[in-house]
Amino acid sequence: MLFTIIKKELLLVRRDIHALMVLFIMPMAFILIMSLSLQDTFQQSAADKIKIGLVFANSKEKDTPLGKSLLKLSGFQTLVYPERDVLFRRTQADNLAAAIILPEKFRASLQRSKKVAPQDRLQLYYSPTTPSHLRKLILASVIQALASYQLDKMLARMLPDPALQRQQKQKFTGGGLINQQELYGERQLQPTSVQQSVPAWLIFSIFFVVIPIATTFLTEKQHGTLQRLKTLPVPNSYFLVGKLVPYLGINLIQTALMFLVGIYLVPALGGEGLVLHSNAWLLLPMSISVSVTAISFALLVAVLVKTTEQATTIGGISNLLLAAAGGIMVPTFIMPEIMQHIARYSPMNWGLEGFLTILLRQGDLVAILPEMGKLLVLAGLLFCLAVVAYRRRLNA
Amino acid sequence: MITVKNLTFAYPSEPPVFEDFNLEIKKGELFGLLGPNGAGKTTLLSLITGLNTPQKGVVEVNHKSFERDRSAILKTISVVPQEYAFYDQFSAYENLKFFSRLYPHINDTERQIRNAIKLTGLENHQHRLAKHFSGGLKRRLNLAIGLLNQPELLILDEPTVGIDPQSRHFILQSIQALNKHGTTILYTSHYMEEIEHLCDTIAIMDHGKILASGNLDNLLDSKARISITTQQLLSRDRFNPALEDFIRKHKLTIDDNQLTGEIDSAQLVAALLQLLIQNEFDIEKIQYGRQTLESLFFHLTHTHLRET
Repeated sequence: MLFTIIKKELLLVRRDIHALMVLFIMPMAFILIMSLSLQDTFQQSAADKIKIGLVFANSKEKDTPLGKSLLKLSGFQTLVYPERDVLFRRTQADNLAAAIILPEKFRASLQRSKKVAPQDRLQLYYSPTTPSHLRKLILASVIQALASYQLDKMLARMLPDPALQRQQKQKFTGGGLINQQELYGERQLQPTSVQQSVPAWLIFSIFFVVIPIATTFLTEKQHGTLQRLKTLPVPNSYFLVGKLVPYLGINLIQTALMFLVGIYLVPALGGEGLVLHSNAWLLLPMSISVSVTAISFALLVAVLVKTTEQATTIGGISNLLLAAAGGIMVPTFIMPEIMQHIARYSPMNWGLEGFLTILLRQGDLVAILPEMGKLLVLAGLLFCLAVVAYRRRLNA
Repeated sequence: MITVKNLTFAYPSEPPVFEDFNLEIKKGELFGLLGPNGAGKTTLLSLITGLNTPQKGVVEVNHKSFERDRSAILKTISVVPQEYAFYDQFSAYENLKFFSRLYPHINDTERQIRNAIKLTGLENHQHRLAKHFSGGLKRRLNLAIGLLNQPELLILDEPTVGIDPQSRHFILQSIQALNKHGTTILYTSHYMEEIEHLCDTIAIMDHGKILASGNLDNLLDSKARISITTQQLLSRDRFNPALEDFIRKHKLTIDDNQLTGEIDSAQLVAALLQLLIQNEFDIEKIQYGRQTLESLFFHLTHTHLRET
């Protein structure tokens, strides 16, 4: 009997083209578009692609150690222009984040102990669209280049042996003093675009079961089908369980499909592929937790609203808000602190953090338990509320 | 078949729909339930089908109560709601298959589906999606679903609303055939002529009370209805005591120059006419005869429009 109800629900979804679009096509499209378009933004080497224009007032300066140091400005791509006017004209076309103009007498003024005259100072211009954190990074790189040049000069004066100079310079620049490591294993903590997009849009689409669940439930209610079903010798619990089980199955199919898109389709279209590590089986309990929460939420909405229009509006808007606040649309690591704090209250964020713990932090079952726990507690609460509201509505 | 005894029921925070309500429907009857909107028909059906539970009193189907034998009762009854209570996205056959599988006691579902399709004349439409059906076909599918468990009691709530005369005729014939084969039928409709044509026994209810019930012929024959129109205004100060007594005794109603009411025999009609002439009223028009169900319904429930 329960199997018959589950089969009916699956057949209803199969024949609902809109539901199929929302549940399968929409997240696939989002994963592809977002993974490919945000690929550079998410990469840690993205700074390599940021361009800085350079003008040497004296073209011979390019071949000096200072010139070479500026040309190899740490982490940026430098473009040399013959003169200042050309650089300013090309700023927008060449997508320059900043411009450096090295005056003719700059190097000479460094030799002197006096203060450098304003007109002889290195001129650093920022594009209006360059964000403040990038401005700081550019400034730090320029300072590093100048400091490196000055240090070379000092060491050359103090130490005649070039090998000794290199050794000392390494000490000053921190080369042998700092060990850089990842907090969780060998991989980087910040996700790549595909690592962010696949779980994020998967969770978003899982929560969109609210629309088909609420729509079918309300249609049953409005058409009297629910009343008719209630006059059949079928236990009441079957009607709610009969909605939970098929949508759990649909959500698991979504999970498998979206990860396959990340693993195979995104790289086939030129993006970075999603790599699953040995603990990939943990995706299953994590997906189930997200799914059960989404379905319980959907059941509550279905029971409380009175029309399919209300269900679509309330379900759609609440999903968008939970996604926007929960780091689905904008990754939490680029959010300001207050928004990161708010994100922690979104169940979509709990799901996303759980998935990222598996994908980035090599988390085991214990590591994802807090997120799963939060989701399952919320699911239980929402399901109980749905049952109470369902009983009340039936008797009203 | 159905026994409703001393029933009291109220929706939460609302005045009672029924107080000390009683109704009896015998096995094999084709019972018509009539009442204006808001009379309590739908609530009564929901209590008889176990969708609602009474606060007081007894609702029994086949001497079984929902408290003890819910599942057993639901196996033997079937409800055909006023709405098209099936899935538009499924074909007629898929709908019948789905609903038939929810009855654990049906062993040969295919045979039951074939029977229901045959009885409702859906043979040529069974594999079409229900959303493409006309109103008449939808009504027939709605009925077919209700026949799947071969119910002992079939409850039909306005089963012919919004359909063409041919489909209505077909459905009414099917209902009569089912009743002849022993199915007890509880039928509600706003179409008086349908009830008059189909039902042997009726009940007219309003405001949660039965206003009249029993054999339809007896109810319509019991009191013939008279309507006398006079040329003069029927002013009481012109009545002699004999006319005054007659009007009071037979509970006749005076409305300007019209006198209406129920009078059991032709002799009494003659006596009334004589009294009117004695009181110098000129008779313009006389109507006397067996009342229709419609006139009985309006007489009992009054004719003013309902908001609900």
